[in-house]
Amino acid sequence: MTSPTVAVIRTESRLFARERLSLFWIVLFPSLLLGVLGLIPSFRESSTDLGGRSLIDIYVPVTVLLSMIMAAIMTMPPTLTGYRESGVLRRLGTTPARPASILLGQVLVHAVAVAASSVIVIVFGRVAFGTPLPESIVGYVVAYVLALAVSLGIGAAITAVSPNAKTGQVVGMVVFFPSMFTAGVYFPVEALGGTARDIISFTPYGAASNALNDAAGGAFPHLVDLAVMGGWAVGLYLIAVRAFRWE
Amino acid sequence: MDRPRRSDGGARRTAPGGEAAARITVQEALELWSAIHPDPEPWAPLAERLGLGANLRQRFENLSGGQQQRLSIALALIGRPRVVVLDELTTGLDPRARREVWDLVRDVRDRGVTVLLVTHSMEEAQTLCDRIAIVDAGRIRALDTPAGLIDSASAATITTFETSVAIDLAALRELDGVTAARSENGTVTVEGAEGVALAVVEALRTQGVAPQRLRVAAGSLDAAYLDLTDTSPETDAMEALR
Repeated sequence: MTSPTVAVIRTESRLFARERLSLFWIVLFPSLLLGVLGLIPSFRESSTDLGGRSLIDIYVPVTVLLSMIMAAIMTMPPTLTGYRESGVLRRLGTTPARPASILLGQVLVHAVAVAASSVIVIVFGRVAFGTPLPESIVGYVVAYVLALAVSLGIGAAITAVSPNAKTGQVVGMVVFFPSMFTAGVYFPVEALGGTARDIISFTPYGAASNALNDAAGGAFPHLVDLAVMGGWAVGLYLIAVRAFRWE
Repeated sequence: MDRPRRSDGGARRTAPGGEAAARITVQEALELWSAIHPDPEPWAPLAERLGLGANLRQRFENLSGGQQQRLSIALALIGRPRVVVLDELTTGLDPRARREVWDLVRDVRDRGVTVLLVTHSMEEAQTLCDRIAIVDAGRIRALDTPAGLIDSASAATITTFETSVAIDLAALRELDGVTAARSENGTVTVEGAEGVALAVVEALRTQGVAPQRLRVAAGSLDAAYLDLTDTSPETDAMEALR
């Protein structure tokens, strides 16, 4: 006899495995992007502007963040708002299972997909382009967990403030582009300097990008970057918890 | 309480997340529901009895409206409920699927489960219900057996007959208990309380008319409903005072 929560999580995993498009964007697309960028010769040259690193080195943490953005902002909110809209959450509420278990299941399957994607990106970058493995393992894990927490917080807040799946998608898109920009997907914000850089450092993905890059280079991430992510995460979860509606 | 609009009786999900939920197979849904209830009804015989035995591996999104509805009922029964509330169960189903669902509701009732059925179909209420509460503007107007409701209506019986000669409709309308009398293409219809039929026959004899194709039918629940929820200006005024 399996517990209700385990049964719900197992079902969520099965259903998630059927979402081929989501899986592509979360698990494969980041590596694909890294592969395409790595084909450009200048991306593989180390640059003194980047502290002796090459652009492709910097794109490894960026593509790690990309999978988090895809999972937490593009996939999870429409799924959950859809569950609410189609009455799945309410229906589950009529059973001994707690509807919260479906939220837990969604967070878990997305977190696992992101983790798989990150491992693939890091190993692929290493094998294909000789990008460095994270040197400060502890620092990387701390930065990674915080980045994932803040990502899921963004997803949770989008879900909570969107009355239906359609709005969820619109709000998701509005958040998606700045997230992509601050994470450095469009161009390496690492290379920016001055005020623009400082402002970006106070966004969740700007801070995440800094922290992951520091850890990748062997240094423990700056506490201010970790604090920025932690602060955003707490704020976003507060919004999510206050605004969330089951029906 | 608002609920999703259904056009085909089932819930064909269109929202992206709904699509994810709709990819669950019949068996997976039944197993999930079995796992989340402490003492589940074995799902295999239940699915069999609901005619879902051949669809176990099919995804929810690929089921017909009737099948989706039946799966929905199966899931509701797995937890061995003592009361089930079925809301607009057959809306949008074709007549065959409708009758299948009706059989199912009888089946559920025969197992000792109390069924509270919400419906707009008087036909459905009349076939399935032991007792009917007619709710109008949020208040219960009547609570009785189907037969009791029909009898209490002013048009409990409907008497029809054909005649080739003109008859005096006004005289029929004055009979005790008659609520309406009309003539169309030689067919006369008289609505009224229990016992009106005999009075009509009596009256026709005094008029010297021999009725042909004389039929007496029980009034419909439709008529009873209209009768019971008839809002006179007086009650409208009462509502306005609230």
